[in-house]
Amino acid sequence: MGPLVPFGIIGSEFNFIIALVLGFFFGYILENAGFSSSRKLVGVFYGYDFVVLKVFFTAAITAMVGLIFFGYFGWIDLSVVYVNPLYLWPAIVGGAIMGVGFILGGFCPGTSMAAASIGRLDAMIFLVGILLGVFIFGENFGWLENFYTSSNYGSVKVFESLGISRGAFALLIIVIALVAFYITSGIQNKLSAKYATGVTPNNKAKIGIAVTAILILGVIAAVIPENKKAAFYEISSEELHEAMNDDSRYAGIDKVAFHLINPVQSTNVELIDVRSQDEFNKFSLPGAINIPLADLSSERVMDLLLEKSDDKKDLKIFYSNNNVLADKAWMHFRRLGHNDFYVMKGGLNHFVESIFHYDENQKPTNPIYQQAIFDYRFKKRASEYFQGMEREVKTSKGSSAPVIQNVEVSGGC
Amino acid sequence: MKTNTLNNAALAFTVIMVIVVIVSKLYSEDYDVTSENAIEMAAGEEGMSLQELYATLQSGEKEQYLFVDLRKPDVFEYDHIKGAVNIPYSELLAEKHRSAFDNDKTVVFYGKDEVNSSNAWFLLRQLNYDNVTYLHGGFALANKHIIKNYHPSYGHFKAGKPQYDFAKYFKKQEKPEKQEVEVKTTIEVSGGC
Repeated sequence: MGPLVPFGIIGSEFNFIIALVLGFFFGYILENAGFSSSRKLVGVFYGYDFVVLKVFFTAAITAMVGLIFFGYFGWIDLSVVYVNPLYLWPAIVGGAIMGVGFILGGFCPGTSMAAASIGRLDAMIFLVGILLGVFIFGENFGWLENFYTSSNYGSVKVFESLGISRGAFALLIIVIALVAFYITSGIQNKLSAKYATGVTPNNKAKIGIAVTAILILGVIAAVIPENKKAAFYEISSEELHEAMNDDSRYAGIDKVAFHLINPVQSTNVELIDVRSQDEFNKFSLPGAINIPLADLSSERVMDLLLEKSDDKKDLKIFYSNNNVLADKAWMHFRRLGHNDFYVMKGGLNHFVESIFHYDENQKPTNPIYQQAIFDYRFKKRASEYFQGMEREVKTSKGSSAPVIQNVEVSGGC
Repeated sequence: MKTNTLNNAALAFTVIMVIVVIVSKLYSEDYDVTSENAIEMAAGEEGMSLQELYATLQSGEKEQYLFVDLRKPDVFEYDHIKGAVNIPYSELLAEKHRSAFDNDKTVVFYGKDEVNSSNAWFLLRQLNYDNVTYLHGGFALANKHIIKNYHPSYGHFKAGKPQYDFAKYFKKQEKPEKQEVEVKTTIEVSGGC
């Protein structure tokens, strides 16, 4: 299902309209929450009002738990969701500048827009400051650029660095948030009676239920298994069965033979031998790679076969001695939602029968059966070619046979 | 006080809905076997050899097996293994045939060839059924050389075996050992303190 934009479900033009609508409501909610008042915003720094902290934590937890459940239900593929890369030192310096600006000006960029739009003078001056800052940064980008792009750690995720699951990290954040809410409410109550908050007899039951609910959701998020990327695209057994009844997965022997004879013209073909390594070593088609059936599901092989790039071979053909093993490989990938794999019809046995066991005496001569004559000629030439009667087999680029060995070492303490 | 009750009810409703959806998803799992495990099973499954079929038919101990004929009904009517039930390949998942698999007999698929029967086995194996297997070769071969007229040389027939000496046909092809064999080895080390 999602993400909607990268998958093209929402076009990139309509994207901006949605952004506009979302932005409108974001501003509306900021204003309604009182975030257009700098007094309220900077309260978090002076300790008399922690509503900013609570709102941001609540927003983060809602989005986090929601995304985890969406991922589990198969509504969103979390691996496609863009995560900003971490530039460690630039982020620290930028964060510090932003913090100073927040305290001095009393707004953060988003809230200053909301405040300016309801006519607050200080926010308008703050906006001029933002524009000035943007201008100065832009003018000096030349010599700032090196620092700006330094210490890039890529799209790191905290839970991966900690070595825990997504859900467990969510639960941890929920607990941290609840503790922070409790402590900040205490501080707030001590400092000023005006902004007193926290548990009162009036809202005791309400807060109790809310805390229980979010903890239950957090625990569920921590225990449900993470939907792997593979499982996200998985098709149902009915769909798989339907595909099994369809013969469009079979690539004809002629097609494979043509590829072997003209490897330069058909560079998009990749032959994958799913037999055992022994059988592969005894004989394999030129240019084929060997991935024994049992190794197909290893993560490395999946990455190798599913890698998408422009010069990647998009016609991947499994073969074995006949169709039995190759069909299993095809079913494996079809179940996982990939439909760009094919099976060499009849396997090597049929290859030999079809190319080499043609009958000299049954040469079609009647010009009406043109296709039959073409087929006969192709087989004759192909068999002569493979037996080396006319010319030498070109050593194509693909004739070295990469053997894939799977060595995985996992461990720890 | 009224809004409080409303809020609480809404909250409780949301939580219950999430739990219900999760539980229902846990129990409506389509495949019972992960794709990783399934492909390992496919590599390890032996199937039922024609020799075993012969022994079973001879000894008359057919009760432990349920033969399932995957061919079309008209071909099935014409001839089939005695005691077999007909479930055409295209109706494999039909609800009305499910009861055939839900017993403690070993279900042996056979069809027009081994590709069909082993594919049917692989599909059913990925669902709940671990009492399924498939017959080597197709019905025509088994009928001719095992059931009608036993010929021991067919006892170990398996479609997946090479039927020819392939290397013989590709004379001028350089031998694989002469080629530069690129060994891609990746060592993944995970873990640590």
